[in-house]
Amino acid sequence: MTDDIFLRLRRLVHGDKALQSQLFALDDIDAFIEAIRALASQIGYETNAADIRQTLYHNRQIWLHKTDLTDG
Amino acid sequence: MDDRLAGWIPMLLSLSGTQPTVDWIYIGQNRFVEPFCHDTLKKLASKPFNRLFRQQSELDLLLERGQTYPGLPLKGIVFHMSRCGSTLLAQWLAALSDSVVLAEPEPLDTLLQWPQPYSRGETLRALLAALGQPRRTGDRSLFLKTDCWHLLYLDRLLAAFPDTPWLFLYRNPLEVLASHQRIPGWQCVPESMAVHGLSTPKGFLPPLAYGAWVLGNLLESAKQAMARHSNGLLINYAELPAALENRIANHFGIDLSHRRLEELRAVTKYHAKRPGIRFEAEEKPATADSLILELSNRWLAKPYAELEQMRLDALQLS
Repeated sequence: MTDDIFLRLRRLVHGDKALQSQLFALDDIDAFIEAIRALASQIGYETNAADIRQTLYHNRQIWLHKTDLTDG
Repeated sequence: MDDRLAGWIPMLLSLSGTQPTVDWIYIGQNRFVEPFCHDTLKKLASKPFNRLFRQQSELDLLLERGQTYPGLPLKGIVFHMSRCGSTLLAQWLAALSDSVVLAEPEPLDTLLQWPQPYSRGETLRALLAALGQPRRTGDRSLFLKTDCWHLLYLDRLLAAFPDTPWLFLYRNPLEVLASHQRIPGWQCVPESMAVHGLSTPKGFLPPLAYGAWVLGNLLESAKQAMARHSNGLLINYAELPAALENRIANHFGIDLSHRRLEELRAVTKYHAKRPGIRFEAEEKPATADSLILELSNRWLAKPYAELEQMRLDALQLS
């Protein structure tokens, strides 16, 4: 997923409370990815599931590095 | 005014150079119901949404929000010596139908370690305001259970929340040390408390000895705090769970007359950190080996006895 698409999606989601709640409720990764792809499509972008999955994985690694979330 | 951070909470505070930043994650209407904030934050952070859409802001935004959205009033602060029923107390408070409980929130631990001016009272209030927003329509009160070493920051916390009642929960040191001997806490890691201003005067101590020394300092700090601040209460672990419904409820201004007491009591029947295991405040004393006895006598027995005397004196007066 390119930075451009990502920034557009973030702007869209951060400004829409109902959308936040709806996407937050999706715990299943595949369902979440499909919802993101549908959202991107609505604003005119083509995305693929593998890219989004990679971004999610990458962000999780950054997050784990910044915090101590593996230590319960 | 549209609040773009409604439903978001500060997850991580970072100080890179002189630029403090805040990472926010979405919590929505979820509540802090796990024994520790860490557990709730961990669950929230792992959700796909928060992996993709977390937000970062400057600290100023947290401060601005603290003014605009002050959150729930802080009705009580729980300090403790660790392994003494504080998680049970926090879970009991969380079971109240109108409360939000922050149990050892890590962003607070980070903030307390920041240098001035970043960690001034205004920032502490803003952080608790952001974490302590109402999650249910009936939420009315906020309670904070600190990490045990936050007793060392008691003056700063009470300066930020001057009218808030607080209590110190403690336990027979032999039992506390026996618990740390089985499963060492962070405060037993040698020099882990140096960042909080506690450096051992005599150099390196092995883990359990270090822990005993730290705990001794905490008991001493609690004793001094009771002398300095009038709105404190001493509670011994042996008073639990009965004290929840009388001394602690009274001290924190919790009206239990219209509560479902049976539901609250159900929370106290089981071990707060190990569901399924019954809580027994009057369990037989832990088997204390010679090392525990020696460490307790060296660092803990005296301040513990002095605290007990203060507690019993106060009980007689009440």
